[in-house]
Amino acid sequence: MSSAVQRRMLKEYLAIQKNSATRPHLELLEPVQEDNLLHWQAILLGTSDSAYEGGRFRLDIVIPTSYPIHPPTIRFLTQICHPNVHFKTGEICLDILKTEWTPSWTLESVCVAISSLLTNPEPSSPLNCDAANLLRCGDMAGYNSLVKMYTALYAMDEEEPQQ
Amino acid sequence: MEPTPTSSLQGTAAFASIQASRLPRGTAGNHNNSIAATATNSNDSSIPLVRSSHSPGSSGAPSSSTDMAHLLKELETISARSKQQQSSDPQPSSSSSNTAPAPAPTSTSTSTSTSASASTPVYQEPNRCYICFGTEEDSVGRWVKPCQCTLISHEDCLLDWIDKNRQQFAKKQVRCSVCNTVYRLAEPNSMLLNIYSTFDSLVHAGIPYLTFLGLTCSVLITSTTYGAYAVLTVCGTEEGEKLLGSPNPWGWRVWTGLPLIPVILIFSRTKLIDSFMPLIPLLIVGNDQLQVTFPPSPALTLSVMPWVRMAYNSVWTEMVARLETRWRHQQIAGSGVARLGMNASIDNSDVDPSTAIGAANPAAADEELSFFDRKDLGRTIVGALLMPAISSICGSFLGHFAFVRTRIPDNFHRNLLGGCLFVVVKDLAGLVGTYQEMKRRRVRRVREYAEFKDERL
Repeated sequence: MSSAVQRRMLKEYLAIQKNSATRPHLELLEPVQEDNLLHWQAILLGTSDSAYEGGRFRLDIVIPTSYPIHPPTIRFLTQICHPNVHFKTGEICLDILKTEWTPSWTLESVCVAISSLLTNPEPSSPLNCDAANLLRCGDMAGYNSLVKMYTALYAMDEEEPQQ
Repeated sequence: MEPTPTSSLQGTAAFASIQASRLPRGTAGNHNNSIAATATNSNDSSIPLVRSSHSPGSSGAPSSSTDMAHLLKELETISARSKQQQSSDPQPSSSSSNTAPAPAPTSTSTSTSTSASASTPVYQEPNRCYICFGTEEDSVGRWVKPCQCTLISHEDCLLDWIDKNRQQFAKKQVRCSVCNTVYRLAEPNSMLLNIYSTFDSLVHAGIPYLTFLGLTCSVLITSTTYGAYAVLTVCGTEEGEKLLGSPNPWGWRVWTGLPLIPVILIFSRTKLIDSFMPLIPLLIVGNDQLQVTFPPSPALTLSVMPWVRMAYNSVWTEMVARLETRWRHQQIAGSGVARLGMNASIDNSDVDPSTAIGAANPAAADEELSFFDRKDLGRTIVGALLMPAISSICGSFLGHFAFVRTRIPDNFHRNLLGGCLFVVVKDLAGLVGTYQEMKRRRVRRVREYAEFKDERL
């Protein structure tokens, strides 16, 4: 069973290296160590039209040994202010990582989905109530400036975060 | 997508070889084992071609070509291993493809050829299992095309996925994530298994309700036990047992009355059930003829107690209300006008003082009462439930006096009297406390810093 995971991850790895030019918002997506394909890291870039612009958000990706059947566990290592991301733990509330997971998703497409979650938050299922409340009240100015502040505070460090 | 025309040529060449290797395999699966041997031969010949199709990709990738080479080697060992398994044991693959529906292999080859021509990356190999990403070359297992879109997979992989979805509900429909077609399984319809799985999902669905039922039952049993304890404590053992009757069989009055005791004790702390409180003893007393005797029988006492309680409550509130208005007048007459109600005193500062007091009174009274009303939920419940024990303690304390013992010979009435005395004493103590607190608030003030700056702390 685990060799099936290895094979799939290997193929995903090849495809990710192949397509690296076609995903502008994904700076990095690779295994943390070359010999372990079950632990990955990624860096998302804030899109230029959002309040996350200029931020680099590090993701920690753990692949279960039952991988395509069960979803990967993904969390933000960089602290981020987003209605669907837990501010302290970095846990992500995204349906495709939980109930709506299907094996046809790949690591790459999941990362793209998380990247689009940044620009399209879903305040009705919040993990960060304060950010979600701002959105639900329609206070876009307040929300955007809060996000910008935390992006500048945590996601624009030049040095690599120690993890 | 390919960087150079030569590499794209190589890619199409590789693809053509794969196609060529697939077609006889498809027919081999449909017919017999003898051609399956040639199929494995043609598969072997496709290994170097696959490698050549991969290598331009690795040179095209900007980073770490050595890593790529290493990974590719690994991939090839996997594929070689799977091929060995295939060639050493051709029986399962042919037998499984015999059971497969005939059109499946041809349709997959056409669909994959269109997808492969649309996007040329090596990644998009034809016949790739969408679950494990295994291809013809590096994996074994029967291929299935369970829906109308291009997704195909190994039967085992798909069954794993369906099983995972059916962990909770055995009857759940699993759909293709792209075209939303329901996957259909051809499985033997066993009566016994059907019954078993229906029962299983019923149990699964029923667990929350059963939990709730169990909790309710335990609350009920606890309440009944508490009720019996309360009756025995207050009435004394003999009287209590007489009142409860023989436990075998208890009538419905006892069964409903006992669990109601703690509930009513708690609600008696509020004014919610004043209206039907007097009816409740009828549950316990039943059809027995009430006889007015002295000392009154427990049944009569119980029937009278709610009325006593209501009378006491109304007298008490009336008295407290009068006292409080008098205190408040004193307070206003004293220094506390500004503190009593900021808004009222500001709004009515130029009005006659007596009308100002009248206007301020309701709001101010609410304020003061809410300040002194320290009854929270836990205190109310615990206080109510401790009532039987407290009254029995007070009753036995009263029993020490010979004067009381001669007048009230039995435990029950002593306990009842003890409880009543306790309530009265407690209320009086509360009133005294309130009075002290109000007095202190009337005279207190904030000290000027200049007053105590020379004092040592």
